[in-house]
Amino acid sequence: MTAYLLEFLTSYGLPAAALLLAIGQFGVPIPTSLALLTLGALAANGDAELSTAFLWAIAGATLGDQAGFLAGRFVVLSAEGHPGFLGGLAARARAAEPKLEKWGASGVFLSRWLFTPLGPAINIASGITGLSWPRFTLWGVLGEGLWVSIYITLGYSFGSNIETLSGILGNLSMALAMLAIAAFLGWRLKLAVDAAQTRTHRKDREGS
Amino acid sequence: MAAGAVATLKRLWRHNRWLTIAFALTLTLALVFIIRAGVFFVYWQQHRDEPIEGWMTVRYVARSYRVDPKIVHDAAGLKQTGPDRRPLVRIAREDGKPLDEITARILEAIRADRAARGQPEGNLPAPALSPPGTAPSASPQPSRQP
Repeated sequence: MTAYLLEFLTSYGLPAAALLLAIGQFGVPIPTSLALLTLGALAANGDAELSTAFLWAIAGATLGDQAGFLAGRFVVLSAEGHPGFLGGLAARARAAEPKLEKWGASGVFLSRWLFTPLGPAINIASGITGLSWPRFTLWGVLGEGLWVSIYITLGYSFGSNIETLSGILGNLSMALAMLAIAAFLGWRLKLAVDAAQTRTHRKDREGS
Repeated sequence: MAAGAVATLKRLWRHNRWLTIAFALTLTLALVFIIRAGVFFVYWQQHRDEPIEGWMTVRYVARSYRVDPKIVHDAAGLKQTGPDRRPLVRIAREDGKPLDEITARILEAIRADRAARGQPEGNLPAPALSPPGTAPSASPQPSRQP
């Protein structure tokens, strides 16, 4: 699978790389980070143009983000007010909107380059919850720019054996994504504990 | 303090069972991924020669095996018309040579070069070629885009 993708990439060049990134950012699980490392390695060896590779990569990744965002917005909001799973989802998305205004932009930005495994889900979630399109696009493009820069630079500096390098980075980013989710769940747990303690104290006071 | 922690855990288990399980599960998974990254890191440091694959270009192979790109270029049977940006699969298809033959000749040339420089040859890894027929068919004209 990986070998096939890399052959596709090196045979057809930068447009193929952009297409792979778009598909990957939309949510199909393909090794997009490896594709970026490959671009960097090709550029380091003089087999690709660094600046052109950078632009194609950002364009492809942004295309995938936008597709996810639009899919979320149109598919689910068309179900709003209807019964069933999608209707329920739309209703809950409405309720989550105020929180999203506060956290949406940083969530989009951080999931582009730091917690990359969460990216596709956040695209669709942003579309569903109605995060404003200019904000989504601005923070998305900035985040993708950072992600593309990091991985192309890594591929460029190491230049060989990038498949194993991609194994290291892939596992690290999964670990980071898990830690991010764990932090969120831990925060929810702490709120629950605090609430329970307050209840207990109140009961104690009423009892004495 | 310890008794308080146990009491808290018990209460969490009673009132927020699923949240607690999910929290423990994500932490465990994070640990697993960190260990896996470490394993890959150790492997990466010990295996600098990357098995040759069809997607690699001449200069990529040369870099991975730390030899002059010209050696790989010549071994692949390419003309002296400047660097070739095509991946090995395309060279094989467009020049009408089997890929395994090209990679075998490249490995032989690398071995000879290392012997000539008095370097330990190491165990050169066998090429990891995808089975024939699965590779994408590129356009027939020999454009030199990567």
